[in-house]
Amino acid sequence: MSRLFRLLLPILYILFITQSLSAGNRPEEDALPVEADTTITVDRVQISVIKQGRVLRSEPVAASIVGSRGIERQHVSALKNLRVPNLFIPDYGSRMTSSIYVRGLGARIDQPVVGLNIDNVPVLNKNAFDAELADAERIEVLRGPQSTLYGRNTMGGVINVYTLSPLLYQGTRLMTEYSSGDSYRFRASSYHKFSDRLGVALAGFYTRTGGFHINEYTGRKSDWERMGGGRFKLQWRNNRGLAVDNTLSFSALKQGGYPYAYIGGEEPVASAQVGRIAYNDPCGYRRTTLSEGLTVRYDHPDFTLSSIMSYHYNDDCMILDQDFLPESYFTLQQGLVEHTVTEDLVIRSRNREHYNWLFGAFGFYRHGDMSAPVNFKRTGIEHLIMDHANAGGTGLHYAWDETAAPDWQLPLSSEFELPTWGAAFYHESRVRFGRWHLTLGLRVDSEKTRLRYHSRASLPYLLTTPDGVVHMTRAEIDDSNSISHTYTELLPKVSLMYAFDEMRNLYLTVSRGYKAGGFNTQMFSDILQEKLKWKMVSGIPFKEDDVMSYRPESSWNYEAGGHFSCMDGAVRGDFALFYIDVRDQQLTVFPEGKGTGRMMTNAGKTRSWGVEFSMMALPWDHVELEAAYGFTDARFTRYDNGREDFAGNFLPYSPRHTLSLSGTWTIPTGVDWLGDVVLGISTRSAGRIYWNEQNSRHQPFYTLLDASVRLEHKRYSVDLWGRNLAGSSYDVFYFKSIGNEFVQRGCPRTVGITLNVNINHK
Amino acid sequence: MKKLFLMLFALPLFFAACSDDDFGGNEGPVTNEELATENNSIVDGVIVKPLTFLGSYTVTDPQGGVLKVDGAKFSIQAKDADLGFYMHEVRFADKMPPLSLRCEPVAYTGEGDGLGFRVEEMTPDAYINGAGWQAFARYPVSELEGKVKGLNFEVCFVCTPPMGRYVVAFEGRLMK
Repeated sequence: MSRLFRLLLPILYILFITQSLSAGNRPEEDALPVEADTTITVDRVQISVIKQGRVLRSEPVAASIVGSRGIERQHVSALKNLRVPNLFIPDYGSRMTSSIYVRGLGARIDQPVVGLNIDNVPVLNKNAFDAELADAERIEVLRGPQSTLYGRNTMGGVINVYTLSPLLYQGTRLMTEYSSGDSYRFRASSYHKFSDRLGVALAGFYTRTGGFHINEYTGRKSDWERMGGGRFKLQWRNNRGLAVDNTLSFSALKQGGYPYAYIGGEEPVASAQVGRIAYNDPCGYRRTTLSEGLTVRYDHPDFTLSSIMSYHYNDDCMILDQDFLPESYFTLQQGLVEHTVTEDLVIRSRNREHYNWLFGAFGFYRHGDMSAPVNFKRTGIEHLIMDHANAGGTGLHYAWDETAAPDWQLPLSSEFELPTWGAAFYHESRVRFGRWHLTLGLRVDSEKTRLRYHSRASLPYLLTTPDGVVHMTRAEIDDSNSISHTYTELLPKVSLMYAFDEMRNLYLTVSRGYKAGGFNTQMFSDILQEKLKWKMVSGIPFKEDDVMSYRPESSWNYEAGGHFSCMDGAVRGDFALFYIDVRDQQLTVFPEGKGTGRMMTNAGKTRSWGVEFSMMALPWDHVELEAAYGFTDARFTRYDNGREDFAGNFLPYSPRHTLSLSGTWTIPTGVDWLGDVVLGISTRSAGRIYWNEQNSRHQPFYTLLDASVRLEHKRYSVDLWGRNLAGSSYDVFYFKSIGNEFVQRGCPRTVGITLNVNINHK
Repeated sequence: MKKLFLMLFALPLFFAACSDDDFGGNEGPVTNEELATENNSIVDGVIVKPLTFLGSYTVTDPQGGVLKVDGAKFSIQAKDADLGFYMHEVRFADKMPPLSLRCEPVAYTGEGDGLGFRVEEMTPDAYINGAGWQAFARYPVSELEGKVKGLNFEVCFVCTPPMGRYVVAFEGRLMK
C-alpha cells in the first residue's frame, strides 16, 4: 500500500500544477458542458445512463470513453478493437472465445469478469460478447469492481455501449469496407424522427472475411467468417417525463476459426510440422442471437424511476478437432441454446445538492440446454484408450471390437440442463460536503444454480485373458444426476472524492466484486473417462465426487485515482493506482486420493496491483495526441494444484503492460466538398504475457503500428488505413492438448479502405 | 472450450484378487452396515459364517509414498478346511479403478473366536468386467499375514507387480 502513496505524490503535483495553470482561465464551479465528457474525443453525449451519473469524469471511477468520432476513426467494430489501459481482449479462436482481461483479472471459460451492457440492457452470456457494434455512438469502459450497481460478473469492470438515438440524430448512414484477407463489411442504417416524441431507427450489417491462416491439411483458409444482423430501435417520449426505449437486435454468424499452429510437445508428432496449422477434422462456430430490451423511464422532479427489461436468445454450436493434428484422435462439439430474462428496477433522486440516493432491484432467470458430445476416433481409441489399458502388464489384453463398431467411433454423449436464477437489492447514497463527495453502496445478491446432466457411452471391446480366452463385452454408461447450489453475496462500496471542479478530482475507493459460481461442464469429460475406466476394469460403478462445481470468486479492490484537465480542456486525462485481492479463486486442481482426474475448486488467492494513465492533448490547432498506458503485476499468492505450487508466479494470459499512442493531424483542404484530410498514426502494445501457471512460456512485449489517411467531410469520409504495418509477428493464444503445444499467431499486416456516407435528413 | 481429454488409463492395473464364489464378483458382502458387538462367526477356532470387517488400509508404494483409504471392507470365508480372503472394491493407487480381489485357499489356525494365517507367496485373482475372476500371475502376493482376534482383524501383505514393491496393511472391525 505504501507503493500507492509514493506513486500518488507526483500525480498530485501534476494535478495542482494543472489546476494553477487553468485557475486564471476558468472560474471555479464552472458548469461542465454536457458534450465534454470524454478523455479521448469531444462528442455529443446521449443521455441514457441510468445508474451512473451523467458525467463519468465527475465520478470516482476509472473510466475510458470512446465517442462516435473515435469509434469511426479507430475502426472500433467490436470490443476487441478498444484501446484502454489494462484492458486486453485477444482475438483468437472464434467469436465464442471472448476472453476479456482487466487489471490481471480474466476468465477463459464460463463466467466472465467484465459485464457488458448495450443500451443499458445486460448481456449475460459471454459467448455473445464478440459481436458487431453497429452504429455505436459511445463506449464506456469502467475499470474496477462495479458489482454494487451491476452485480454478478463485474469483478473487473463494466463495458457500456450506447447506440445512436433517432431522437438526436436523423439521417441515413452507409458504410462499405474492403480489407486484407478478402474481407468485406457493409452497413446501412436509417434514423427517423416522426415527431419530437417518436423516433425510429433501422440498421443492418453484413461482414465477410476469407481469412488469413491456411489449414495445410485441407489447403483452405481456417479463419473465414460470415456474419449478418440488424437492429430496430424505437424511442418515445411524452415530454412530461415518460420515456420508452425499445431495441430489438439479432445476428447470425458462421465461421471457421481456431487457426492453431503446432509448436511442439512432450513427444514429437511425426505427422505435424512445427509452426504449421494442419488438422484433419472440421473446426467451426455458428451463433444466432436475438435480443429484446425495453427501457421505461419516468422523470419526476424529485426522482427518476427506470425499468430495464430484457430477453436474450442465444443458440450456438462449436465443433473442434480437439487434437488439432492431422490425425484422428477425437473431436468435440458443444451446442448451447439459452434463454435469459432480466429485470432491473432503479429509482434515484434528482436535483438534490447535498444528498442523492439510489435504490435498485434486479432479477434474472437463465435457462440453458447444452449438448457436449466428445467423439473418439481411431487414433484416440488406439493410443489414448487401448494402449493405456494394455500398459499395466497384467496379462490382460484389450482391443477394439471391430465387428461391433467397424467405423472406429466412440461417442461420449453429455447433455446438460442449466437453470440459474437470482435476485439482488442494492442501494447507493452520495453525500456532498462542499467539494467532498462520499459514496456508500451495498448490494445483496443471491442466486441459485442447478445442473442436471445425462451422460451416455458404450465402448465395445475384446478382452483376452491369460488363459487365451477372448471375451466380447461392452463398457456402458447411462447416468443422470442433478447438482444445485445457492450463493449469497454482500457487495459493499465506499468512495471518497475531492472535486476541484466537475472535470478535476481525486478519489479513493474500496469495493468488493464477485464472479458467480457455477459448473465447469468441460470437466465432465474427466468424469466420463473415470466411469469408462471403472467399467472396463471391474464393472464397479464410479462413485463420482462433485468435481465440476465452483463457488463464487470474490475480490477486494483498493483504488486511488483522479481526473484532470487544464488549458481550457486542451489537456485532459485520468489516472488510477489499484490493488486487488482475489479470494476463493476458481481453479483446476488434481486432488490426492480421490481417484479422479482434475476437479474445480476455490483454492486460490491472487493479488494484483498496478497503475493506469490516459491523456488527450490538443497542443496545436487540428492536432490531437492520445496516450493510454496500463501496468499490472498480477500473481498467485496461493495456488497449489496438488502437483505443483504456483505461488509467486504471474497470472497467465494477462499482459503486464498495455500501451496505446496515437496522433491525428487534421488538415483543412479549403474545398467545401472535400472537407478535411486527417492523417493518423498509432501504436498498440502489450506484453509480457505468460501462457501458463508455470510461467515457462510467454509472449514478449510487442508493438503494432497502425496508420490512416482519411478524407473527412460532414456527409462522407474515405479512409485508407493499415494495421500492423510493420508486419510484427506475435502470438495471441497458447494452450496444450494431449501433451502437444499450440499457438495462434496474431493478425498479419492488414490494409483496407472504408467509405462512410452520412445523409442528414434535417 | 478447449477440452483436454486426459488419458483414460494413467496407471497400470494392480492385482487380480482371489475370489470367493459366495461373495460373487462385485456384489460385495451383505451387511447391515453396523458393527458387531460379538464374534459368533468363529467358534472354537473354526469359521462357521463369513466375516466382513470395516476399516482402513494403507498402501506404501516403491517410492515410499503412502495412500490411505477409509471405509474399506475386507472379508474372510470358509473354503472347506481353509479360508478365502476377500478385498472388496479396493484401490492401491490414486488413479487405479477399484477392483475386487481374492486370495484362496489359505490355510489357517484358530482358537476360540480368533484365527491366524500366513502365506509366503501366492497368485491372487481379480474380478474383471466381462471375464469374471482372473488369475493375475504378474502381480504375485507374498508375506500375506492376517489375524482375527475377537472383533478386530489385521492383515498385511506385499504385492510385487512389474513396477515395484507395494506394501498393504489393513485394520478393521467386524460388521454385523
